[in-house]
Amino acid sequence: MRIVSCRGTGDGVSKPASILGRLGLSLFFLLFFAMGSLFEVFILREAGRALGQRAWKKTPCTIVTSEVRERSDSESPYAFSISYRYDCGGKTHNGSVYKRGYSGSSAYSAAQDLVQRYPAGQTTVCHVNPANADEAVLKRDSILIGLVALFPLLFVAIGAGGIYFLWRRPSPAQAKPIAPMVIGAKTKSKYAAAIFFAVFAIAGGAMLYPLGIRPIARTLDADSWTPTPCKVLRAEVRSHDSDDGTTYSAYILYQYEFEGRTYKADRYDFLGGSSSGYQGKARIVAQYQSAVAPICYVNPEDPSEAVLKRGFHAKLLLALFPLPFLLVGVGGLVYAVRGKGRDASRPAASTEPVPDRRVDSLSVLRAGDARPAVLRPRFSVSGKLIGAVVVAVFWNGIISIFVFNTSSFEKIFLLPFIAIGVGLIGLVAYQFLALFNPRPALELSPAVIPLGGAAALRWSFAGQVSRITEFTLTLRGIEEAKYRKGTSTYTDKNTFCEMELYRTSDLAEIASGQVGLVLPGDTMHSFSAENNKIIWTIEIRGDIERWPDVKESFEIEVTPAVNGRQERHG
Amino acid sequence: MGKLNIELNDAKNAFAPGEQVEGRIEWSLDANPNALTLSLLWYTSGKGTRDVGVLCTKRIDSPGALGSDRFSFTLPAGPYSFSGKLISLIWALELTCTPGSDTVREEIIVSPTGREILLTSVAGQSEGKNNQSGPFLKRILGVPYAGA
Repeated sequence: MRIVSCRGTGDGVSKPASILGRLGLSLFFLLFFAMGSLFEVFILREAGRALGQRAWKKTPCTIVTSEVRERSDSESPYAFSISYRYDCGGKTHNGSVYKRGYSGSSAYSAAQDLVQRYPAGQTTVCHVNPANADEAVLKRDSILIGLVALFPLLFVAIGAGGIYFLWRRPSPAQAKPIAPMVIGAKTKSKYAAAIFFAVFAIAGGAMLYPLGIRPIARTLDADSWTPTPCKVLRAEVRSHDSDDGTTYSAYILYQYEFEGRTYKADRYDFLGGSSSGYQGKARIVAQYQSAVAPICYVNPEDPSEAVLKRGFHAKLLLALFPLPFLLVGVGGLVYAVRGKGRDASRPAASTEPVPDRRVDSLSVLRAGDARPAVLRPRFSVSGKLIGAVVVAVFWNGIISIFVFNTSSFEKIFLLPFIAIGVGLIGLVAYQFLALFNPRPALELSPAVIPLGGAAALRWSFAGQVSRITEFTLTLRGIEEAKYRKGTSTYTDKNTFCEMELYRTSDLAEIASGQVGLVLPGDTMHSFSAENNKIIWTIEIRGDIERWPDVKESFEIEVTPAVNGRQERHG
Repeated sequence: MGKLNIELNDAKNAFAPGEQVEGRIEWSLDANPNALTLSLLWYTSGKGTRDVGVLCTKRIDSPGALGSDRFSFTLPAGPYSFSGKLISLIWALELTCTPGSDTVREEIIVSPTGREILLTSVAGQSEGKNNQSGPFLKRILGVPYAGA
């Protein structure tokens, strides 16, 4: 008999890397450190300038001209152009800078908003450089840029930390205490989970208003806006490059007259933004390019505000995108803070003195254990179907984005992923057919079996049992180890005990029956800790020709031996 | 660096569940520690992330730099010491000094057989599987019957 033991391995203790490996990793971390430091310097310099502007003198000024100027610059063709006059040091100065670094906007409405905020003739406040009275701005730089400095700091920390841990001298070998690992471990993980879910909730909540509630509310509000004929000045599909690929948006600049005045606007709908899929946007643009007198809807309370598309449309549902984040965040936060019951496998997770527990070995059998119990399958048939549907939808949903946004040549590289997607659809079909299988029911008496103990197992089927050609009942003992690698969690399983309890092709025996079983005494009882488990299961298999087989697994509880000692099995 | 020591009575290191674990701890440290803590615990080792269960602790406050004391713990019914392909469960007595990281650990075996339970892998020993099911079927209580 081959015994495989892995004692002392895989406790997260890795072998020290070779010098060459450490040099390579050092280079990698050095790159992190250098890039992070470089960005840090840039951001801090900007933050310093923004802070310096806080000392600029607030001075009354009068707006002389204010308009949207169109330029040939394709990136930001609409610029807010302004000139203002202010007095400083007994002299009158002219200013034309709205904000340091402002170079226009890709949307007309953004520049238009500024014109409305600073109309000609208005008196407002500008900020004058005390060192140079000719230098002034209407809007100072935001000092919030300082917060952005935290982002490259992360890279700096990873780089510096990585190099430090690579080259630090290891502490002399000595036993690391294990007991303190338990202290506060639960509390720490509870707080970590709470922080994780709080970030979800905050992000979801923060996104919900601007991305969700506001666009929907404005769309509904626009129902009362005045339909007005307009003239399309510019209509084009704009592409936006990002790390996730190219996205597209329909840009339509239109002009309309309202109460004798001419306005320009470029709002298509209240959602805005861009998304993948060129064709849809091209259709919208073509529709407005060819329209003779398209209708826009003008806000009667602020005629500079107009929209082309109002009322409910399917795209509005996208506005609810942050809602799952909020719900998952709040739900997870409540769950994490309330916590779940203490793990029975951790009887004393503290260093507080625990009174010696005089354990009666018979106490491992719980009250009522002698009674029979109806076993529940580990995963119900409907649960398996739902699981398969969720995975298939998730996988194929992601893959479809790539499929519809790549060229025919690029699609070749997606073939393995598409094959997995097709396989998952097959799995859904398989699980759906399995819904119509005969359903097994198992009753175990007693409900909990000690090692070396005996039990009776009854089975019966509901449904068309005559379809089953062969029936097998198997007892299995499984080791289950959960571990993390990088950011992913894996679960490995190993079957250490497998016993065929019953096998028959007789229809009457398949329909219902009973078998007695004696558990081996020299094996391991059920054990369930957070990451490591010993699971005992009864598995039913019913072969059905040309149809998904009946496959159900029922967990049973096996306790330590009743008398604490048992016969030795040869 | 100081010295910590755990000594089990009669150098016995295998115990049945429910049995008493008795022995003596000794310490000889460079400085006066705040406390010494002796824990009876189990921990897992192997592929899975480590799980730890502390069953009993005995804390000695202001023990002085040099000394000794006796201890006695009663073992619970489980879990047993075992070793499988993926997981090993190890019982130990651990003496820790506070402050500092001086620690000494004495592994023990908790098992009804007095030996660590060894879990084999079914996939790697089909012969063993057959051997196992043979005697097992003989031990089935009563004759299997249908239509019960």
